[in-house]
Amino acid sequence: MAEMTIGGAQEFAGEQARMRALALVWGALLMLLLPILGLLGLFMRAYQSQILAEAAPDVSWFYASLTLHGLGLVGVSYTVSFIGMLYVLSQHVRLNTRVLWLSTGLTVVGVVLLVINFLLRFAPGWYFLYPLPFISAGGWASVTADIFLVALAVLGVAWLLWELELIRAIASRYPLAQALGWHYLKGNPSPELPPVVLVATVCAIAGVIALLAAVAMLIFFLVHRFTGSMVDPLVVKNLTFFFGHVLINLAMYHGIGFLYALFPIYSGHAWKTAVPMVIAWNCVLFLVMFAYFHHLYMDFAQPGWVQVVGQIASYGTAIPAAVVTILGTLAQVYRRPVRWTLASSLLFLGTMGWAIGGVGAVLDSTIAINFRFHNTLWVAAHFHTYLLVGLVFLMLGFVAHLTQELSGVPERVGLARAIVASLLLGGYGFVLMFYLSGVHAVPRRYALYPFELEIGTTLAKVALLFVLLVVLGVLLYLIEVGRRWFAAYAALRAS
Amino acid sequence: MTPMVVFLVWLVIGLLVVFVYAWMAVSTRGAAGEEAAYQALGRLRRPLFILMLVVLGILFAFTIPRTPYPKGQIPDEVVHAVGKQFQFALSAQPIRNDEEFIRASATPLKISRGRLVEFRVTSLDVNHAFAVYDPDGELLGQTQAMPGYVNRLLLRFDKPGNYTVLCLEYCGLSHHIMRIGFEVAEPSPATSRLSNLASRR
Amino acid sequence: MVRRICCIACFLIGVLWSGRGQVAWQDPRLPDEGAVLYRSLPNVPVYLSGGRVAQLSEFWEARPMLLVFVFSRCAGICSPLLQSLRKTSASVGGVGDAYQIVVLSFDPRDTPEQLLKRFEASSDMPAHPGWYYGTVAPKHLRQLMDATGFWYTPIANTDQYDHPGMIVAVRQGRIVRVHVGGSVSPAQLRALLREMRGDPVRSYPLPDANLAFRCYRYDPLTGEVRWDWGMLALFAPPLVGFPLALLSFQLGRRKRLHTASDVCASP
Repeated sequence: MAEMTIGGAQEFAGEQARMRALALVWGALLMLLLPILGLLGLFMRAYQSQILAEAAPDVSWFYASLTLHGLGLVGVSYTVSFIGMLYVLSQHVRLNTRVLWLSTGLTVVGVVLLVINFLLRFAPGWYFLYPLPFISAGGWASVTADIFLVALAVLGVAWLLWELELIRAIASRYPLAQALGWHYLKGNPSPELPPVVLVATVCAIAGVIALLAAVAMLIFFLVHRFTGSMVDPLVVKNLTFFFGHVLINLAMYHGIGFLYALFPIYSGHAWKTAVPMVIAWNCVLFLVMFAYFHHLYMDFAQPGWVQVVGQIASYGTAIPAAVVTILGTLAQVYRRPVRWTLASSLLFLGTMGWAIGGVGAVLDSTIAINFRFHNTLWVAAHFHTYLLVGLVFLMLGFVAHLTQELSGVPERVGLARAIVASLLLGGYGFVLMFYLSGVHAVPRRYALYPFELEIGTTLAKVALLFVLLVVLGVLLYLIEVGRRWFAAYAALRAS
Repeated sequence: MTPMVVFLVWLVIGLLVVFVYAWMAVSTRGAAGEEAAYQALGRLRRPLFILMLVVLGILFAFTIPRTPYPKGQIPDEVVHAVGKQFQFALSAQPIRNDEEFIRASATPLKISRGRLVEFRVTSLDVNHAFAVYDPDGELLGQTQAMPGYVNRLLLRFDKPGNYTVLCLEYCGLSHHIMRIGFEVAEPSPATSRLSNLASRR
Repeated sequence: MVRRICCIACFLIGVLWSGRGQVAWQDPRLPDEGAVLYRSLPNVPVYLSGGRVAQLSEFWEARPMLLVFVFSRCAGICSPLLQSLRKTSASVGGVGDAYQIVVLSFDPRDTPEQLLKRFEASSDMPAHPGWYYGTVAPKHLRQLMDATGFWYTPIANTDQYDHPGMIVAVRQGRIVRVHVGGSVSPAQLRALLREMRGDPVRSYPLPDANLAFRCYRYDPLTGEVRWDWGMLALFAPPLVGFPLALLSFQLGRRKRLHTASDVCASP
């Protein structure tokens, strides 16, 4: 690497410090928002289990919780994992932390607006399928739809800004072909490309495209709002699912980005870019654009070829995940003296959740199977698997690592094991109830289940037990990592 | 593939994944960190890739011909199905507006057993979903009910009894109570005009 | 005495039996498409010009067919309907290749030659390929009327009948659409043809709504499907996003070329 001037080194150190501060703030946001949004989930399962009985509040609170829980956790997943990826990427490229702080501030504003809407019981669901936000049959005040549009706009601006900043930062160091690793395909591994740069480049390009789709979607919402003219609902549905599907997949990919950088610290084996990884991630950039069609399989009005493309792309995205990342993670571990800590355990187990959730996803992305599973709790099962026991594990692992690295506080091994055990058992037991419900065609997003599908109520009751385990795990995590966080914060301030 | 078969497939693969992860984790105990072990797993990449291609290819080839999309088959009868917050209406006649919706909602539908029925599904307001459950609570099939579009869902009813339609796309605060029922009965003169038609064929 | 009674009875039965073709279905309602959708047409013999006989199924097995009921002495709707159909089908195209038109008379006095003479230039054969004119036996006519919902009523003191103008679209022997009226526009004919092909138009104009930004607009007059602004909205994100990313990398490349030193430390 070229030598740095003294001024350059000082500048770099300053940037690193700002990046650490930003990551710490987002770690705190994760530890604040995840439990709150998770408790909304607990409330929903309790409502569905009918154990609240006469104490159950009005059903509007259930659906408002559903809306905030979904929107909030998708947002948290995307943002925290993005920051995690940037944190490790900052070793290789210069990021303008001012832009990242601005986006952080705007994100907080967006979140506050969504919380206000929750209190006003805005409940179009977290898909907010047009034209439901505007046509509520008296369910919520029309002003909440306006607040929602403002929140979407603010969040869209926030995230587009930092995605563009990411592109700028990578582009200021690497040409596009190099950032995508194309030189590896020509048999030339030099210059060495850190895997996180490859992942970040793919995510940044896809992220900009997804957010532009959100802009188009928002424009359509605004056309309806201000002209009263109905926009084609199928067009908006396509845009909504394109944006949402790409965004949540990117959240997972961000997690993989920091996994590639962090796990080797614990395994002691470098994780380097190679031809299979380059092929995999370049394929993902293409395939992730088309997989979203699987959300519209039950829209028979969509052209038939589009549905088939959706199935092909959905199957296709599973292959790079398995043969590069999952296999790579296992290779990092197999017969290696891995330093098992809270962080490394969560990172390792997060990929397992991704794999298991991915199997459920591939099955559901088969049109003939989707015909019987679409909008049943199977859908909730598979995405809770690769989010709760997948990406959330990765994010918790990242924050555990970050706070440990910055604080130097020794880990309480017993507590760490208890955290992992609670989250693992609780998480998988919880999602298993969703899978079983899906098999029995219990619909998703039902506040209460009909008498013919009473099994949904029973399984919700069982799920509650597992949720309580998850709550315990999260509480223990807050205790352990919270302690480290404050120490890290103090250490950062002191430096 | 029935839902239970799909679940079992997921469960078996899921347990296999858990087993592999557990085995890998256990392998780290007292491990020396051999590069050969790392390379050995790397050599599994190509076989795993080929295995996935083959399995997914077979699944694709097997399931694509079994998609629920209309393939030009001619049904025995048509039922117009319309969703509107928070009710469904079923009728042999088109339902184009609120008045026709109200009239249709008041008339229960009966279908003769064994008939291939084409449900022409749409919505008068927001996105709903039309999902048909048989008397045993098994989901037979579904399609989206979209304003401005008609989705045609073809189902054959071989089992007599009371069927239920549930809304499977979140549509507002009463989404969970949006439902309608219809009866599938043995063909007889006492059932609907549609049944009478069957005896002429 | 008994023999006389039997003879009278047989005579009456005979009169009634032969007169059934003359007795109209007394249903004054307009045909209801919903009531007849997907009904099977009876496979009856059709008498064509030149003494030829064909089963009705021979027509629908060859290609989808449109069935029209007229009579040669008609002073009302028959001629305008057929002229409209002729003109529209010529403009839309496909008669004889993609579908065919079978015109049947419900007047028991009619012969195929009389139909041809009345509605086509020649009494020998139709001037328009893909068009067939024929008659059916009274009992078979009743079966057809029962299946399609067509009806007719003699108008007293005239040789005319009151009847609806209708075009029945048939695919594989089943009724897939019924058009009722004295004429048919290109848009309406195309809708019938799409249904006959098994490729129905899946969208419909919402009342009181001006749907903006559709993916595509189906023009019923020309049958063309044109992309609309909604399609642009779907493709715009990747079409804008990829060049934007490329541009960013180009700008970054310029900056890299002008930068004197590498500002990143090695990890």
